[in-house]
Amino acid sequence: MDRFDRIGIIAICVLAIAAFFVMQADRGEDKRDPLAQQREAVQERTISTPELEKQINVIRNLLDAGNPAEAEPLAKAVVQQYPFQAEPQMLLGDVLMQMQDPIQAMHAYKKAIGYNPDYLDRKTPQFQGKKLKNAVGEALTEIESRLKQHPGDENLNREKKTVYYLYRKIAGSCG
Amino acid sequence: MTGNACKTNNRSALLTMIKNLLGVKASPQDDCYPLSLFVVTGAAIGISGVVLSLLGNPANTGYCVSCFMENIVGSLRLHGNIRMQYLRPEIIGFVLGSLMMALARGEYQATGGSSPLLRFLVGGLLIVGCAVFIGCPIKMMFRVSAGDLTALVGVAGLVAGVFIGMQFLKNGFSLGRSTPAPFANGLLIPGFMALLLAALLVRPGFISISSKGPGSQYAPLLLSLAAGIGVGLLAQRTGFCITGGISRLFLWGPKEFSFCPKTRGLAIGLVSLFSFALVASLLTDQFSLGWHGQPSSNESHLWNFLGMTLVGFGSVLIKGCPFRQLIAAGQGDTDAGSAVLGMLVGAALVQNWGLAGNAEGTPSEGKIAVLFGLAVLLIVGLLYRRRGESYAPEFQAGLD
Repeated sequence: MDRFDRIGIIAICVLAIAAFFVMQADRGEDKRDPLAQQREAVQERTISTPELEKQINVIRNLLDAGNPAEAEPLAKAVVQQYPFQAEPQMLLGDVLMQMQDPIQAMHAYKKAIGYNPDYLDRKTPQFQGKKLKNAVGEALTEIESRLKQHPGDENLNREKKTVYYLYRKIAGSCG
Repeated sequence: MTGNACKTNNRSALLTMIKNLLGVKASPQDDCYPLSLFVVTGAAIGISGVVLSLLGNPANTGYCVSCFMENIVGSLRLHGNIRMQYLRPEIIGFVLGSLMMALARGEYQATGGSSPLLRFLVGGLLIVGCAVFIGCPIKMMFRVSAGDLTALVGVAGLVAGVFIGMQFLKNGFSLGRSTPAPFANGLLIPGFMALLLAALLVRPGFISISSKGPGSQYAPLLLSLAAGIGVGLLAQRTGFCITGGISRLFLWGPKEFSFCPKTRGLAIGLVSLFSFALVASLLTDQFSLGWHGQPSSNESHLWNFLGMTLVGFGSVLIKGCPFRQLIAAGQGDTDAGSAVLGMLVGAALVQNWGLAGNAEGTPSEGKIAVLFGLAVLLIVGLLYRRRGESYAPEFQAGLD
């Protein structure tokens, strides 16, 4: 065993220790299979009860009539009633955008595309990439203007990370 | 690392003589590896990649061996991600183009027997590293040339991995020399690719093609196939390899670039790929300079670095990056063929086990896989060392 072997063995030990720590840190995370999550999300999304459709239509009509203040509590109630469905989240995002709260709207959109990635897929009729990109852009502008007033605000910096995450999601990926 | 031995023929000797008569200093090897060919190879990969991306492939993914492998195994139903299923004609084209050029130039030679199972394992690990980084070394070049600054972390990781691999080579690492094999052995991987092409054209029931997601994003079939074949032809002729170019730097130092035509050619090929891809990205409005919001990227810089370190390290040990393995498999190298099969299995595992990086970052499974992969390569490196020796003969072959 020469010096090179010893260096190699030390490196292997370091990697093993690092892997142990990564596994420890990983224990608290949600361990559900991502593909199963995706399938579930799609299944959830396809459950469309007449009652839900009716509620969504009411909120859409309020939005079209320029009455987001009245639509907001209704949208929040639908989200609470159907917490894992994409469409109510997307609708809540639309309501919040009309209420000129792009940061909260961004969070609603983030959940919506988490439940249904088709919103960012050009090949599907649900594609809403341009709308989402504009919303994220407005959220970034809002965050930056707030950061000018409160530089070093950790919450705002976290919001910025969400903005960048959504930009990456919108930009797409090969995997 | 980089492929074909230079066969000096009468024509190249004649060219050298003419150049000498004209007072142009040239060696026969200059004619064997004309720099213009490397410029053309880099340009062909760079321009066609950007055009394919423009015409339908995912952003910054004109070519990506790892992503495309994941698409292929998905299409063969070896994983269940319905968004990652397509028989990518580019990969098929690389192998068939390489076969055509090798046959045309009389360079096709079925060889094998240099630790094929180990190459299979390392091939799988290469795809794990690529998937964590979100792209193979060729896609890394596309990402950088499209202004994605986060990909520079991958460049650093790849260089670090190549450096580590070279230390093992310097200290006697050897997988054993390959020996001639029956002619037909070398046709197995090209034959498999031809079958995939037939399946893509006929679309039998057992093939799945995504209707949404990255798998559904593709350029016109014939164009992708033609581009793949063209790149395969040129890459076989030049021995183009991303890690090969970098490893030569560590092998002989920067001085070597001025002396060895092939080393210079590989460096020029890389510069050409980057430059032409950059210009094409700018012209097609696909260039966006920045750290944030880039396609196929995330902010897990440490893991992206380590992912590419795994790729660089593994590529040196098995004499070539994932792209090079495909080209070598096309010209009859059954050891590279084993690596290609390992890459396909690795691609299936990446999807089934959720190892790939995504917009959110690197999943913990991916982190553990990278650490495990690096540890495995270190163990392999140590176990296959011939102590007291330096570069094994098989790593000196093709370094003309």
